Amino acid sequence: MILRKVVSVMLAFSLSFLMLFFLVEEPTVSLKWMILGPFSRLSRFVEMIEQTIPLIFTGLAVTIVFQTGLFNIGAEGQFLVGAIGATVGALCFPQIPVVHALLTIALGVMFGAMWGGIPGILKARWNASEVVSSLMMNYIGLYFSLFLLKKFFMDHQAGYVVSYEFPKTAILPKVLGINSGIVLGVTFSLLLWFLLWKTRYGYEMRVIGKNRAFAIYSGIRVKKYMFWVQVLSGAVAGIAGAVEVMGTYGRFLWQEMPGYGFGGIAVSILASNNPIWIPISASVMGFLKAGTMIMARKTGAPSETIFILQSVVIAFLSSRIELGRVRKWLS
Amino acid sequence: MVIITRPDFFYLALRSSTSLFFAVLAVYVCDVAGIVNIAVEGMMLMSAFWGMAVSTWTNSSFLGVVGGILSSIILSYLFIALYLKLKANPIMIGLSINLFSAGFTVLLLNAFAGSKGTSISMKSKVLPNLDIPVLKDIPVLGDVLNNHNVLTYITLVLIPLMYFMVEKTKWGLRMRAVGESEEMARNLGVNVVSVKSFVILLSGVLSALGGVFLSMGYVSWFSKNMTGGRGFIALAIQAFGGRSIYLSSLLAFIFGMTEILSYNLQVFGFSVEAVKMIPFVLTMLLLVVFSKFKNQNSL
Repeated sequence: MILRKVVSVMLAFSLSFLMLFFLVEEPTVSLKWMILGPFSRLSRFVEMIEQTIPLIFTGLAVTIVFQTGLFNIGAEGQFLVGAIGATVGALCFPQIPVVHALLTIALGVMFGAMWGGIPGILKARWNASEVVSSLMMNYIGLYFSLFLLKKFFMDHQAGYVVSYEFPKTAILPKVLGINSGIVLGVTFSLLLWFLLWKTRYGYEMRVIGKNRAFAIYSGIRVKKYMFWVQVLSGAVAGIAGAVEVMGTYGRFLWQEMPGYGFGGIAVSILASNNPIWIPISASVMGFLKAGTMIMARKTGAPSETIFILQSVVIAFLSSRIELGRVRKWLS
Repeated sequence: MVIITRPDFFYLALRSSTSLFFAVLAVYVCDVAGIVNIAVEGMMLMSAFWGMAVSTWTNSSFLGVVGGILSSIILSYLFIALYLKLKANPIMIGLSINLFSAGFTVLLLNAFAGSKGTSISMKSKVLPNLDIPVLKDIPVLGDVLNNHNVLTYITLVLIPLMYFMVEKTKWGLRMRAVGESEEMARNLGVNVVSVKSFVILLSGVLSALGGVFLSMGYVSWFSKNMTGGRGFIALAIQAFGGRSIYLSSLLAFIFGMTEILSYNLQVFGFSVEAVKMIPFVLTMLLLVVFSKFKNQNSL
């Protein structure tokens, strides 16, 4: 199993190397920054960890839905509304220490849960495809967040489209110079692992995922789960957005989809949809993401290279490629 | 709302819904054979790029279209290999193809046009508009239907043609059989693999036409993510229209009208974001109404 994962990442690397080699002016320099960049300076190493944090949450959000045999392609939108929810909280709530930060996260969670809940309720009540509706919710989420940002929270003195800086009471504390969201992320991985494997709810969720018809006949209230799992998933993706604005940037700064939602799908599938492995697979993806971002800053190569890496990982790991057979071919 | 009564409003609406018509057709043929194809978005994007690039290099719009179609066919073969040989989930394949296209087109754009946003240095050769002699002289109707891009006419012909193929021909029967039940189709002697491959390739070609229209007709350049979710909207429209492609096409046209209306709303000072949200909110509402209606029927 682990070999498959390693092969998928290696394959993703080699394919993007090949492309960069032909399509970028200084391929060797770009590749060097992509791989070694995150380790070249402490601040860049911190950047890598900060890219990992949102991927842990979106990875978890996708995982719980996958385990229930459903899809959540809307983590992208849930992330954004989570972030804008937290922005509303940070800039509007009274600045009482601790309470302010908690309320701000709570608002981000609520926004995310709502965004996940809409496809959930459509699926549960009227059997509308959650794939289609969550894709639509991504775009609605993007434009909704930008609308709120530009209408109410835009800092016109910043020179580019960002929100006002958050007050200190709405900023998450740092642990060793790193966004403390990482602690929250690892805690959540353990919690969700516990939920999925050690509780009745988790058991029933996995039964639905393995065989929905069986779950219905054995009396599990499948529709209820379909709704609540999407709500939970949206909430977790919403935390990702909230933690990102409160911990890493201190303001809302996106103008397009940041890619954490789709990245979360790659993270989840790399972790075999098991929450306990999510922090590790998110680190791998966070390394790739930070690497491409550093590469884009240092050379002319576009940071969108990350999408190619993710697409290869998703394609490889979701297909039934038997390595034994490949080895036989090669020998 | 005076503009709705003017013929050029409908002209513009038809123009702006052209790529959506193609996307709907692409989703439709796959849906008939029971495949959820969210890769339409990525295929459109990829062919929009290659249409622009090839037509700039060769100075021929025809070769541009061919280039766009070829790039989309390659993606279709990838889809087929992953889906039929390696048994991957079609939604995962679609996601992967969409991500790949989003990344690869920017990489190519950066390499060939030296830009990460819009191909300013490369101007694609635009496909010609057709001036139809008889149609031109009919009042109102002529204003709406005449002087459109070639691809607009092609899609208007393809809609009934695809419907005919699906509903009246042997091939369509096989597609529908596979869509109803693979097991049954196999027992009847239908080669499921070849039917599915055919459908995915056809869907690739249709997506490609929608894609090249964007970069070689609607505008004359390529920009990052220029499909902007049209493939996904098509998916939702198809969920609504189901097997009746005429209903789906009508909806696609309504979306075209919404787009033109929204440009006007922007002029009146509505925020860009609020306006851009309209088609997606509309799709969501349609989905709600439709699912509710369908479920009541089935109960």
